[in-house]
Amino acid sequence: MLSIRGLSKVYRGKATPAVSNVDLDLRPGEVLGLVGLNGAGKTTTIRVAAGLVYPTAGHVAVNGLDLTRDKAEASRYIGLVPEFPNFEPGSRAINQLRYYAGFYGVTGAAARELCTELLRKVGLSDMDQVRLRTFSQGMKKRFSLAASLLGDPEFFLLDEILSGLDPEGVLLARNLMVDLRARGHGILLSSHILSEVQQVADRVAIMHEGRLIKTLTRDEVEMTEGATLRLTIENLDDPGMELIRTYGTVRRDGNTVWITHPNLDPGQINTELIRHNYKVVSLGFESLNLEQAFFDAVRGPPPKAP
Amino acid sequence: MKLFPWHGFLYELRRGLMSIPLLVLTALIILAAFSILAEIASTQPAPSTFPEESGAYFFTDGEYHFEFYAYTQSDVPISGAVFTVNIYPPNETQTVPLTSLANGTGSTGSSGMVEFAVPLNGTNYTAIMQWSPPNAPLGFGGPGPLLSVFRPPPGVTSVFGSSWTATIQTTHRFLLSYNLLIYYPGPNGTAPPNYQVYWAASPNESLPASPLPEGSMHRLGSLNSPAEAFSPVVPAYPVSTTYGPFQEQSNGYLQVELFTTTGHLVAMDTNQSVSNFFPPLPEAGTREALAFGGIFMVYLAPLMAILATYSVYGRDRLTGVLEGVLARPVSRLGLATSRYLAVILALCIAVSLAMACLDGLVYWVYGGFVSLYGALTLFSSLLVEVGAFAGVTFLLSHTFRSAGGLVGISLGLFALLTVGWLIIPLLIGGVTGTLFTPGYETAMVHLDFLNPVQFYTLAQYQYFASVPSNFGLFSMGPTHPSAYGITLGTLIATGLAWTVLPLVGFFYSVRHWD
Repeated sequence: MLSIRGLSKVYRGKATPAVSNVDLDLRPGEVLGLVGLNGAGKTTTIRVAAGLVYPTAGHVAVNGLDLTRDKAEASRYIGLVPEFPNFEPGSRAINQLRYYAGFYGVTGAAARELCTELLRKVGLSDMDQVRLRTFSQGMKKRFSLAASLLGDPEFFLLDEILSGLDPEGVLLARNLMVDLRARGHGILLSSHILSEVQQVADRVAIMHEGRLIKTLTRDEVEMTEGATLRLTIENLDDPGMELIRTYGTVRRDGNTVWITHPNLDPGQINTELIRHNYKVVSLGFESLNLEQAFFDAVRGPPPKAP
Repeated sequence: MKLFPWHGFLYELRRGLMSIPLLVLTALIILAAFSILAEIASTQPAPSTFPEESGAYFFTDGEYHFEFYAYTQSDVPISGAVFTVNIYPPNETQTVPLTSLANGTGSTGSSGMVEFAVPLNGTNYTAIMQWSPPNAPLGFGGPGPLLSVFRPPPGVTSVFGSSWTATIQTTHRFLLSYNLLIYYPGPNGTAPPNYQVYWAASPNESLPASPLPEGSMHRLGSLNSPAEAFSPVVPAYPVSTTYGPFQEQSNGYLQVELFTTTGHLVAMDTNQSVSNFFPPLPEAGTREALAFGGIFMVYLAPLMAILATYSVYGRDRLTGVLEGVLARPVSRLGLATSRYLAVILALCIAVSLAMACLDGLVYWVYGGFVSLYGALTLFSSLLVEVGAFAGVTFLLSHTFRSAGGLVGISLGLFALLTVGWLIIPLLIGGVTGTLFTPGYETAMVHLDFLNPVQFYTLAQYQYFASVPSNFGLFSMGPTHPSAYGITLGTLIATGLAWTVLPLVGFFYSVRHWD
């Protein structure tokens, strides 16, 4: 298990902590989503968990090994894909990967074979002799994903892995995560794309202003109430929108409107709209539950109408 | 778990060695070393073309036969030189006007040799030899002196004058050196019958009283043609090992003797000074190498260290490349140590390569390698320099968060410690009116301890005070460096401080800072 206990991090020259007193466990065979606004402390948490920066307080342990004290040994259990990976620009992809493989004790022909296979796995098999300076951000992400697979680590720390990836890359990453989870690997997935997190995460940790404010299970996410109500109204007009705005936060696309945290029951809303001669074609909740849960956690749920 | 990532170390070493700044600056140093050739070529005169001659005669079949050899001072035979011998009665004392009894003339061939006969049957004459090289009037050097000509016994060849050896200039690599030319024909002007040539050097100015036996002389070789050049290796006279103005060593003469193969003395000559045949002083090449080191290497080596460190560590750290490596199973200290050692070793290899090229060049030019002590002086100074500047750049890589800041401050530090170090004391001395006073000089030397670039200057002081040298100690005059605190001990301590302290700072920052 990857265990984060009492983690705080204050960067040099900064008054406020980037992360404050975070406790988190990542278990084998689970995907733990890590969500939060910009500056919430997600990346710092991952960087400390990967051993890239020292914690100011608290500690990170993986399978009982302290990541500060036993860094070299503990890192064998961790594969990292940073948000903005960077590599030696003048190095060829295969050479850079083989250099990394050496740290896992894989050298020579075995390293070449392994690295070629990993590049194939992330869709870069024809780029093995290309210098990394020519790689796009998406290709760097794929390459970083291949590098994280070296040594077959038990845990993966994926920081915004989907950003910069093309749709094919997103699919590849998603399938890889599902596959890794099925094989018993634990994944800490930090992402701004809540729908992606919701798709694959078994649990979701919500961070805000450096603190871990809530951890939800998949069931808890899906059970979240006060979700977004979706209505399609055939004769929707401006006075109709004025009326609907009194029911909650509203977003409109053509004849469809979404009401976040409606302050009336759906039946009451439906009745009111009919009473005002609007023809409601469809009405129902959408499963944007993580988003709601997130904003609930960050801002607090809106008060219900009396 | 291995503590030291050897795999990474070798990768970084290769990367360091192949880094463009290291390659470019090493190539620059090596190319700059060739400036030695330019300097030597510009100061060394070309071998002389001034004409010289040697002559001999023998008697056979009622004729006196005269042989002459015309050559330049660099032993190039002169073809077409015209020799004339006028024979006068014996004991002639006047030169002009005279009526000759007989005369002979001839012109040298491509070997520079000529032989002609004058039919005379007496046993005692006076002769005047005149000659001129091509394109010069006959007797270009004026009428020759009156020469006594005694009929030699049958089969014996007599040489004109009292000496038959001459120094000639040759080009020894890029330097002029001097060889011994022996002109001595065999009986009846034939090729010498394998005469054995021996030499000995006398440290005294006075000529030797008598010929020396073969056993107490050095063999030069066999004389098989009338004119042949030899290279006596005369060891340099012991130079003063005391500190202060050097003492020169040019007294003494070269005693040359010819023996038959049975050990019978044929001829003896003491005409040449031994100093003509001293080899280049051993420290001449070392001095040149040290001067070159002071001009180029000590200024380029810090640049090499800064830029190589930036290439292999600083840039990686500032662009996040290093984090990609740190995410692997490697400790921070292990990674930092392997990169530090890789950079230092790459710099050592580059410096060694540059020094090897310099040494080879010195050997090529001077015929001797840089002395061990001289090489150690330069090499250790360069190691201190690259160690200090690499260490500081490693340390600054953890202090600055931008490439511009890191490179800027590193190069600024380099500029301060090189050019600034020369200018600022002059300004301060000028303003305070203490320029070049003894106190100023002492303060400058003491300040040099605080500058890794100046470590080389201190090491040179120590070097020149510690080896037999003709070159004195720069501006220190007769003062021994220890009076300024420059000893082997203080140099070692200073060198260690400059290499270790930045390293300690670097490791501290690795251990405690992100």
